[in-house]
Amino acid sequence: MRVGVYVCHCGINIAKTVDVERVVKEISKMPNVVICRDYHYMCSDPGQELIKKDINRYGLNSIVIAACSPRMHFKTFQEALKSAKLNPYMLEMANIREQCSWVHDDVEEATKKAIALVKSAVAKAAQLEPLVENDSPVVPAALVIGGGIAGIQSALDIANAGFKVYLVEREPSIGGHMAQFDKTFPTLDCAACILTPKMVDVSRHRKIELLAYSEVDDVTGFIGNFHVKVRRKPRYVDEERCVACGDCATECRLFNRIDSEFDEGLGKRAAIYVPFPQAVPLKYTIDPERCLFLTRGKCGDSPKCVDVCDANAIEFDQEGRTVEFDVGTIVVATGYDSFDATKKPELMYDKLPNVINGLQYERFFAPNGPTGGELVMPDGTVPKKVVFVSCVGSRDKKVGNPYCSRICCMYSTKQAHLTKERVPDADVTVFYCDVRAFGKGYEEFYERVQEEGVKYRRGLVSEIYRDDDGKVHVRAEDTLLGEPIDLEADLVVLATGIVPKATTRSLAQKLHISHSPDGFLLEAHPKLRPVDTVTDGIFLAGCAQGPKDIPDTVAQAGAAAAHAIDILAKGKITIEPYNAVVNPDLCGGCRICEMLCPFDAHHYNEAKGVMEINDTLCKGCGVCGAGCPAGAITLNLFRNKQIICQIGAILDE
Amino acid sequence: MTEYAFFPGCIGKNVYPGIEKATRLVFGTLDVDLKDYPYSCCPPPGVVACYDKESWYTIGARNLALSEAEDLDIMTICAGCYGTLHNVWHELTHNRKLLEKVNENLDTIGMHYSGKSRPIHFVDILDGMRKEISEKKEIDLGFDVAVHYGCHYLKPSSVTGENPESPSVLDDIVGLVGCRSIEFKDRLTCCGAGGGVMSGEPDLSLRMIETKLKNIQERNVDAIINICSFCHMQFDQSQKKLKRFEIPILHLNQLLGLAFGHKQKHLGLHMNLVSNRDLVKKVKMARRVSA
Repeated sequence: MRVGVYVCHCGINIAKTVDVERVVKEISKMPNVVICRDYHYMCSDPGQELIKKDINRYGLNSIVIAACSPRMHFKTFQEALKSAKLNPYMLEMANIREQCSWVHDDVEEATKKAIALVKSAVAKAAQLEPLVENDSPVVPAALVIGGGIAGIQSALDIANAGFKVYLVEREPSIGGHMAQFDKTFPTLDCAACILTPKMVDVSRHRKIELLAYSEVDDVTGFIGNFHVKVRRKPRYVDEERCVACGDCATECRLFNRIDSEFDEGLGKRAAIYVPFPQAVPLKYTIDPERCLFLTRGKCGDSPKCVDVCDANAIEFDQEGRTVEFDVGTIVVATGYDSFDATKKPELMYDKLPNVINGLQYERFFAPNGPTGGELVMPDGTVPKKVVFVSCVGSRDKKVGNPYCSRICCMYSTKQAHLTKERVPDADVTVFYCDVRAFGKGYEEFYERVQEEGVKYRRGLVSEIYRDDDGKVHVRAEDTLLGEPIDLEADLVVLATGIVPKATTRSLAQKLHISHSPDGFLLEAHPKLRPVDTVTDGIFLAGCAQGPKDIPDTVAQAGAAAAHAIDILAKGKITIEPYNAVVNPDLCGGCRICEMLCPFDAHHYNEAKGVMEINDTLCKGCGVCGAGCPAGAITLNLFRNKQIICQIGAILDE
Repeated sequence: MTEYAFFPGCIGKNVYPGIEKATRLVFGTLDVDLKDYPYSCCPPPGVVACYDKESWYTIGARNLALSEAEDLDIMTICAGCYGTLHNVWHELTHNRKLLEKVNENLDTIGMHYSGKSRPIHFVDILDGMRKEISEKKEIDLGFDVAVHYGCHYLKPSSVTGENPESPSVLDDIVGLVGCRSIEFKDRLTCCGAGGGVMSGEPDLSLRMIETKLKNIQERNVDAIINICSFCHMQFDQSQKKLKRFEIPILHLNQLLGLAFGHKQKHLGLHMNLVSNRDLVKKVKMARRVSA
C-alpha cells in the first residue's frame, strides 16, 4: 500500500499545541508511508491540490488526513480523492484538533498524542479497501404529518413543486392552533383571513390528498421508500354525501351541551359537529365518546340527526379503515399543546372561573368564538381590570420546563392591545419577568401597546386568591420598585407556554427520530441542520421541533419542504457504503442482530436461513457486529483487521 | 413494632416540654417506639449555617450519625430541625466531596456518617398511619382549627418533595380526629420566626405574625394547629407581646393527644402563655358526647 499523510496546522488551532513538524518527521519513518507533508490549511484549495498532485506523482492509493473531526471535512477530502481518480473510501482522518490540540495545553504531551493518533490512522489506511456507492430510487410523493400552519405550508410547497402529498391530520379539520387565533402579532392581521385561503388551497390542490381525522399508525422503510399506514377514524358521516347544512347539529339532543375543544371549553357544541365554520374539509363528525346513539345504542325513538339529514349521510355502522401508501420523504409538523396551568396550583386556574389561559382569551376576541368577538364574561359583565401573568409553564424548572416558549410575551402584548381596543377604559396590567420582543416589528409593537396605556410591571405572580367579597386578587412583587403588590382583577389571563404535544413521543418512536430533553423533536444539528432529523428523509417543521411563532414556523415549513423536494426531484438517493455486511457462510440465523438494530435494517431470509441487511436503512452503528455470536457481521468501514491494526499502532506508542 | 430515633429539638425539649411529652404519648398510643440519643442542637440554618456552613453540616451529620449506628431513621417534631437535618442529609447524599470532608471532621470524635439514616418529619409518619389514628381516636374533638404548615417542612420542594403551593396532609390529619380545617387568608405564609428573623429583625417578625393572627382571628377558630415547635413558640409568645389576641395554640401532637384521651396536664397544655382553658372545656364536653 502506498500511503500519503497530510498534517494540517489549521492556522494555529492545531500548530499552537501540536509540534506539527515533529509529527511529520515521526510519521515519515512508518512503513507504507510514501510521502508525509504538513500544510497551513489542508481544506483550502491549494491544500487539496497538493493531495491530488501527490496521488498522481507518487502513485498513492490510500490517504490519511490529520486535521479536524471527519464530521467537518471528510466529504471535502473525498471529493479531492475522486477528482484524482482514487476511490473516495481510500481515506482515513485522524482528529488531532477536537480530540487533541483543543483539549490539551501541554505541547509535549499533545504532540505525542497526535503522533499516536496519526500512526493509528496510517495503520488503518494500509488496510482500506475500495467501496462502491449505490443508488436507490425515490418514490415521488411526500407524507406531511400535521395540518396546522406548518403542515399546510409544507404540503403546499411540495405539491406546488409537482409532487404528490399526503397530508394527515388527527382532528376533523386542518388549521391547527392558528385557526383558533383572532389576530396575529405584531401586524394585527386577522389570523383566519390569512390562514383560511391556504386551507382552501390544500383542499383544492390536485396534488394533495388530505387525510383528515386520521392518524399515522405505522411507518417502515427508509429514505426514498417509506411505507406508511394511516388509520382513518370513522366520522359516522359519509363525506361524499354530507353537504354541511348543519341541520343535524341544531337538532342533536346534545346541541349546545358539550364543551367545544376548538373554543377551549368556553363554547358549546353538539355531539355531531364541525369544529368551526371555516373547517376544511367542511364535513360533520359524530363524537363517538358523547353521541347518545353510539354510547348507549339509543337516542330517543330515533336519532334526530338521521331524521333531519336530507342527504342520508349519517352512517352509524361506519368503521375505521387503514389506508397504505408509499412516499419518498416525510415532514413532521405535529405542533404543540398549551401548558396545563393546573400544574401551578397557586394560580388557581381550575378553581376560579375568571382565571383563564391565553388560548381561551383568544377565543373571546375571535369573531367565530363563543362571544362573537365581544369581550363579555359568562355572567354578562365587561372586565374592567385585566391582569396578564407571563411565563406560566415557561422558564420554570419547577414544572420541568426550563425553556422560553417565545410567543407568550408577544401574544399577551397583542391581547392587551385587543383588550384596550374593546374596552378603552380598561385597566390592563402585564406581569412579566423579561419582555422578549425579538422578532421583526415586535419591539415597536410592544412600545406602541405601552403607549396605549397598558402597564408592564416586572415581577412574577406568586399567588392568585379570592377575597371574602368574591373578588379575585393577583399578588406579586414588583421587582423594580422592590415592593409587594396586591391587584384586584376582573379577569386574569395566564400566558401559558408551549409544551410538546402529548402524542409526539410515540410518533417519534414510530419514525425512529429522537427528541431533546425538553421533549421537542430533535434536529440533526442545532445551527446548520435545523430541519433535518437524524433519520434521512424525515424533516421537522413548526412547534414540534421547539416553540416558535408563526413567521418562524412558516419559514421552517418552507425549508422542510425544500429539503423534501430536493430528495424527490433527484429521483434517486446515493447510499454511502458505511453499512454492515453479513457473511452468509458464517451466519447461523439466530436473529440476535435483528433485536439489537435500532434502525430496523436487519431482516431474516427464511429461505436461506440467514440475515440480510438493508444498505439504505443501515447507519453503520456497529451494534450488530459487536453482538453477533458467530462473528458473521462486519462493517464496511470498520473491519476487524483494520481496527486491530489501529489499536496495535496506538499500543506500540 | 416500628422504631424511630426521636429528635426532640431545643424548643420542644426545653421551652415547651409539653410538646415532647405529647409526642411520646401519641406515638406510644400508635405503637411506635421512640429511641433517645445524646443529640445536640440541630443546629438552625439561620444562625449557624450563615456563619460557618461546614460546621453546620458536621454538627447536623453528627446527629444523623448517632441514629445511623443503630440503623434507625430520625423523627423530628419541629420544621426547623427537619429543615436542617433534611438539608444536611440531602446535600451529603448528593455531594460526595462534602461527605468526605464532613467525615474527616467526624473522625476526630470517632464517628462516621454514610447517608443511610434519614430524617423524617413526624407528619409524614402520621400520614402513613391514618388508619391507626382513626382507630385510636377516643374523642371526636369537633374543633374549627387553623392549620399552619411550617415553611421548612414544605420548602425547598426540590429537596422535600412536597407540594408547597397546595399541601393537604395536615388538613387531612386534623380531619381524622373530627376537626374542621378552616381556610384563611395567606395560610401558607411564614410565621415570622425562622430564618433568623425572630432574633435578627424582632419588629418585622412581630409584624409578620400579627398579620397572620389577624387573618386567623377573622375566621373565629377554636385553635391554631402547628407542626413545628418554633412556629408554636412564635404563635404563643407573640400573642402575649401583641396583647390583642387570645387564640389557643396546639402542636399537632397535643391535638392528637387530646383526641386519644390523654390528660391535658400530661400534654402540657397549661405550659402555653395563651390560655387553653376554653379549649379544655370543649374537650370535656366532646368527651361526654363521645362517651
